[in-house]
Amino acid sequence: MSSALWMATFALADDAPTVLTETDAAMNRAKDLTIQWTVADMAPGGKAPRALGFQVRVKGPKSLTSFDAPADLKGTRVLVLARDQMWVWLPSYGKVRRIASHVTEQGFMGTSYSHADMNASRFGDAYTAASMTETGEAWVVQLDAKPDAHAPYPQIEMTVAKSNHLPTRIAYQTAEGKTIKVETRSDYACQAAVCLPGVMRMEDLTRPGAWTELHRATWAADTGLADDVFTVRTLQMGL
Amino acid sequence: MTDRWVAWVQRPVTATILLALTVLAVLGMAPLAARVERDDDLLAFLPADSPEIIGFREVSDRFGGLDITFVGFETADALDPAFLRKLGALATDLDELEGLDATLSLANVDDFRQDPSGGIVSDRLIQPDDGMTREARWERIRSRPQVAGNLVSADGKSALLLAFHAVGSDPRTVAGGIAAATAKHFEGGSWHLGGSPAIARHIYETTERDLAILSPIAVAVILAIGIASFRSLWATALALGTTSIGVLATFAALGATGTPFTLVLSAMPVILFALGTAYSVHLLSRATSARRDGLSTSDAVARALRESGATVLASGLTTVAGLASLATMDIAPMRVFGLTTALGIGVTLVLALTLVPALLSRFGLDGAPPPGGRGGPTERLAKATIGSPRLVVATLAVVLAVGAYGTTLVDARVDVRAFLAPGSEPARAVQFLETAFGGSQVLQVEVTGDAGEPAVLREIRRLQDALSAVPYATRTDSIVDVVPLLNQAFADVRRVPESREQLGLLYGFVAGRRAVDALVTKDRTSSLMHVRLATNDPDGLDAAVAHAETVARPLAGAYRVTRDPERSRALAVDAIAHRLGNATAVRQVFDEPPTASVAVLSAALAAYLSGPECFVPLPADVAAALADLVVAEVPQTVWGPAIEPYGAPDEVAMAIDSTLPGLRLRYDAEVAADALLAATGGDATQRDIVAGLWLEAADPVLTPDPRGTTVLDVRVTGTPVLYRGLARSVTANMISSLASSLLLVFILEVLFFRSVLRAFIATTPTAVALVVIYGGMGLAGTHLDVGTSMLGSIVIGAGVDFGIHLARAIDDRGGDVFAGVADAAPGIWVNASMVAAGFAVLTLGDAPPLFNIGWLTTGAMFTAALATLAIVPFGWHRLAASTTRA
Repeated sequence: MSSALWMATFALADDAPTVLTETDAAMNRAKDLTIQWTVADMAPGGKAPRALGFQVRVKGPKSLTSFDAPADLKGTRVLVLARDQMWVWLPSYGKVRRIASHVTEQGFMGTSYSHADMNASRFGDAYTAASMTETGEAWVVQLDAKPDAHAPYPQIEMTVAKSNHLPTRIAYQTAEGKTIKVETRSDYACQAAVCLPGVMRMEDLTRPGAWTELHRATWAADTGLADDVFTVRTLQMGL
Repeated sequence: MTDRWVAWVQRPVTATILLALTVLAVLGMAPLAARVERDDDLLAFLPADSPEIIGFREVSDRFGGLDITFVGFETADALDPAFLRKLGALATDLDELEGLDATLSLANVDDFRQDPSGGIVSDRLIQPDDGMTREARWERIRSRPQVAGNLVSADGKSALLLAFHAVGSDPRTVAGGIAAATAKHFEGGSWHLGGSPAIARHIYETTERDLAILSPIAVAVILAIGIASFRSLWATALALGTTSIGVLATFAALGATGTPFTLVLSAMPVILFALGTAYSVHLLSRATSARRDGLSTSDAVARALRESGATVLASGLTTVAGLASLATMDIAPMRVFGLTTALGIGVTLVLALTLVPALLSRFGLDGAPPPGGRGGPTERLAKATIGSPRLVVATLAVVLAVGAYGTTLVDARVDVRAFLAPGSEPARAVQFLETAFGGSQVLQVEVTGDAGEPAVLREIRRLQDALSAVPYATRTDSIVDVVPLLNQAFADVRRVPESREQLGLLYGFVAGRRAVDALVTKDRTSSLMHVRLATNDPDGLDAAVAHAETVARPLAGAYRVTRDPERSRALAVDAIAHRLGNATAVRQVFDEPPTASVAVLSAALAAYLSGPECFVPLPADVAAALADLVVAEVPQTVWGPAIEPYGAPDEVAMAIDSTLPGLRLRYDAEVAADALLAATGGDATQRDIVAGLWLEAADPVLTPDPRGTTVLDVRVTGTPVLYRGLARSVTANMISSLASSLLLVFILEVLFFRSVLRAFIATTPTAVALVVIYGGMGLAGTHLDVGTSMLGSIVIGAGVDFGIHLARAIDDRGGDVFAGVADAAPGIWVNASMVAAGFAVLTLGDAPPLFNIGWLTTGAMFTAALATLAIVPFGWHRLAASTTRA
């Protein structure tokens, strides 16, 4: 199916649950992804952003992340097989460490993105679409956390482009509706039906001046990543 | 000149023009005054180029702000799930509070610990629904030195939440937000807000509240005294109205220049009312006297202007000059105070000499002169002093001697306790934090140098151990408390890592965490130690700072990283002995080190080979059998074939090689730690730390070398250091401002009287009043601080006014001392009473700083009046007598 036909289908969505369902579908269309990100992270009051770089391979819920910057983390690899199960290859210690993490709201490597933000690929798993408004270009969907879903934020206001059914702005909110973080996703590029933002930016409104920007350097979709990429053996031995 | 002035002022059209101009000026100034913004930055009270302030600001910038609000909780059980839930909800709310960088409490402290199924668990240290028993929670907390005694008290009945303010945020606003959030979640509970931001907030709010309540009362009291003295609402309203316009002018000047309103300026309106009313009071006193003598209003006003106009002008200008001399101080808020108050006095003075006589001439003058003229106690005092010169000299000598002795007792201090009313919430918070958590004062020691080098961290730990002996130190925290815990999470041993690469990796994983950022900069060129002190006593704080500086200074220098087994071992022995005591026993264990049993090592290797971290996991029984063989040093050629069904022998060998050496070291260290604990009777909770230190005994160390590339520098900072700097600054500024004020006043009086001797006599009462007041402060144990240091200028401003008026009045009466006293004394007493009453009202509030300024200024005004009315007549009489003799 061509991209044009997909977009024609998206434009038919007319209620909040449908927009949410189709957004989740659009965000998870690839069977696997390999993306090289460069990251600029600014701390409040910081003079210059900190640079990070990593390549991430994703297949379903599994991911393998290899850091190449900063120097301290170079060679470090992180394997995630489930939401709270990850393994880390520590090159300077020459060992693999399994980390069962239940703390998902911590900043990912000190950035404004939390682990939960980085791994959020299906909003419908933890949120229900409560309401929606519409402009000429986008839908603005209000998401409420499902009870007992351990959603990281009580509410989310997500702006979804009608053109590709992908989020362009995500406002993470408290139960009272106060926005505490704002993520923007822009410069989408598509390979066949798979589209990916070129720039993702997260601003932490509770810490004025704190933001993190991910710039997509290279990417490839559906390259047929094998399952054994996502194993402890690969983590320790490398690809 | 005076006649022309009088004529101009008394023209009916002048009153109309002046009134119109004044109304227009008021209308123009009001919007400007409304623009004034507050600035509650305590650092502004230190000169910008002071080493203390530079150090504090630099460290604050580097480590993300040193403002920390402590929220302390008293509860039946700090580990109770219901309490932890509330604490967690509060921490979540505070995470969203603007201006707050992060919080740290039992509810959100992160932790790494061994996972029974292999690897580690990264989770909250404890959680309300973690299913643990209270004893298990307590055991876990006790094993974490950064938590035990820091976030929960030793008895488990008190908890602490640390709220780190963001750089550049307004401490008072943020502390207010924290208080509101805490009140919401712990309504009816027992909680305390401590730390510098909370104390500053209390001081500001108490002072503002007191001033809001007491200022109108002070004005009413001044008004009442004015009405009682002159028996004229109209005359009194004129005196107070012109002063009000002076106050408005100062606010308009602040608004127009964008100068913020500081705590010091809070007292400015009352000071202006007190000093500014004097000019109208003297004129009214003369005019009402003239009316009593049967003159018409117009003639009475004219006579008052002719008799005292020039004196009022001279006195006012002298006061303006005295206040403006505060511009020489290097404390910015004090400069602003001096200049704006001088402006306000100047405006009031101009209005007193223009608008007041014009309106009196135009609309009439009722009332009567104030009492205290001829035949009153003042005249009797003058007669007594003139008649008993020896008694005067002796009394003056005694007063000056006692006062001078008292002034030697005055010390400039920033005593936080003096700012907190006994029983006030911050006072209780200070007491609570001292009792349950070892205090709320924190001294910081910054070590500039390569904190990415493990050998540097070991030196920092050595310094940290030494700092624990600082007087009143109850706990110390540094990056060397955190790094070993991280190392334990990733490599099972609580030690500073062996290599830079390992240390860098640990830093990389915790980048951006506030608890770490408060201890080491992101570029690792600087690290910070926090020393908590269980005192707020200035002497105690000064002693702690001095000790810390003495201990820290020797670390500064150039080093190189070397392998020096003897020094490495000595460092490890010292560090272990510091924790366990009994250095001799520690050395004995080092001399005969024990080793781990083969069985323990084999079990550990088997657990790894069958666990989730091994990339060739083996069945448990196979792993156990293989581990026994490997530990017994059976070669791969023997066990290889047997292992093939489960994994490639070379890969299994690779897994073993990557793990066994580390396991051997770890278990040897743990056995050694057990031996050390047994030999010294040490606390078992120290086992992991001691094992880590044991391993570090073979690591590289820093060796002093002038050509070395590892350069360390040390700086002691924190609020106790700022307090010391502030005290020094206040002392230096007060001495310079008093000296320059007195000199300026003296010069102006020489010009006014055209006589050095007369100027000396007229200035002497002011100098005596200063000695008496500062001596009184010393004898009463009242410290010199930012507020009380303003006292000198107030005393000079008012005292000079009295001296000039009295001396001029005597001169105007052709040297008739008693006639001069009769003319000037009523005005002096009215003014002194108004000022004293205005300030005395300030003693009724809760704010101790206002209380001090209140009673001291009240005393100063009466002292200045009394000294003037005793010394000037005496001096003028002696001067006249000697002139006659000559």
